[in-house]
Amino acid sequence: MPAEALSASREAQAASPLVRVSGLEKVYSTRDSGNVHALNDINLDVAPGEFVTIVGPSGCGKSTLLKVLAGLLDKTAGHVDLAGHPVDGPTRDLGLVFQAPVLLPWRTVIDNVMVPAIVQKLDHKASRKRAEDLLRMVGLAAFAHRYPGELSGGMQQRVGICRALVHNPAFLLMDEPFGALDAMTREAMNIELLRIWKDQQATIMLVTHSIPEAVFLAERVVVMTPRPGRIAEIIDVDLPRPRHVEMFNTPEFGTYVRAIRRHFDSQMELD
Amino acid sequence: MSQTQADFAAEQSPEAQAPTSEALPQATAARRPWREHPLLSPALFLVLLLLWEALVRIFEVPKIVFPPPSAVIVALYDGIVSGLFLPHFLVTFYEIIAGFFLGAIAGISLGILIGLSPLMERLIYPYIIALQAMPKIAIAPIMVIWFGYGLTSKIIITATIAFFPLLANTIVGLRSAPKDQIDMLKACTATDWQIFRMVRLPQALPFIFVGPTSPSSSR
Repeated sequence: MPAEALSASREAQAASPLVRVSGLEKVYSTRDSGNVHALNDINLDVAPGEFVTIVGPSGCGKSTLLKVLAGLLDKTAGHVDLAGHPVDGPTRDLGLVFQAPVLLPWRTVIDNVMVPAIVQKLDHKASRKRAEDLLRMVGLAAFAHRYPGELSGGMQQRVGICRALVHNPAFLLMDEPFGALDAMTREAMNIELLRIWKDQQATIMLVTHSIPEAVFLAERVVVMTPRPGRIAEIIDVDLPRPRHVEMFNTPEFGTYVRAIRRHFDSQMELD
Repeated sequence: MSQTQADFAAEQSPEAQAPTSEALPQATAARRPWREHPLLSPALFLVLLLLWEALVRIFEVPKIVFPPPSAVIVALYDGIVSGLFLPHFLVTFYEIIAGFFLGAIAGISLGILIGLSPLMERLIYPYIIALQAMPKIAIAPIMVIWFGYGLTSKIIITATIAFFPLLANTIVGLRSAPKDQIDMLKACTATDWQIFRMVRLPQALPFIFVGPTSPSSSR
């Protein structure tokens, strides 16, 4: 993989990136173990409409990076721009999906999906229509008036994704959204997410600890290594689209997976 | 006798028994131990009343010292029929309701203030706990001096009793909202008020009404 050459060409093409991260540092100060350097010199541009996955072992700061991008965490140093504006708090044009569905149990499915629209005081009728459309898209139209407790984990996670999309954000951040799902459901959700990405023309940044998932979904995979969390490599994935489950078994797919895994093998040897 | 027979029959091998669907519930009913009977506790009450009545009569205790249950029942009946109890009952009822609502309003609103503001917690919560540690009965005479013998002193005392559990439950309830739910709302640009209304308050309601956690039992 001539990764350097590819990322160089990518830089040229990303004239006006949606996300521009440069020299980002994040240091947590804890009482007992001193300062923890969670992110170290993160540089990353994401073009509009791009699907970028971030992969790495636990503790490599990938969730921290997402939280900083979402405006939920303050950065220690560096620059984070979203659509040309520095991030200094949550922005309206952003959808966030968590590892757990994080639904409000006292609200029905459709009322959960409506939460961002209500918070942002968007037109109620239009938003409700969109919420219904999104639920139909993920096959949950029949469950709109049920409560989250009546749904399975995979269904709840789909509701969480609909909620992240209801206010039509240009930018979708997903923090290990399928980590808690079984392998079968996870594959189906990956296919569904690619369809949503195509339909909604959103820019997606997805964090995962699954290397195959990272390769399968992404146009670019950001490989992060821990202590301190930094970007080890950014790999362009040149697999054809639309992607199919059968691709998991192709030699090309295996090449990408191995190229990424190498980073973590060497990491382990260092330990 | 019939119970032991049923027990014995039930212990036979299932093939030999081949119980029909009608026979099965009967067998389980017969086998239910007496200690699970629903009238057990009322029966104990009855036994204690009879014991009390018998002891008072046998030892000829004067009514004025320790009246038997029969005398109590007669007095209760007379009081209700003569119309003596009703107005007093209504007054006490009013004192309880008014006192509870006063205490609840104060407890919940102060609980919201402390639950949402760490500054307020540091500032006033220690004093509220200190006041709570004081037995209400001990300050009752002072309440009477301050507010007189009328309704007010009783309402105030009731309010102080209702106040603390509701305050503590409100604080615990408001703090019980999972961080992810709050982050989710923050990420879509919710204001503090929206987070309070959409997550913190609904999370706190079961705590306020039921008080499932330890502070409620500290009364």
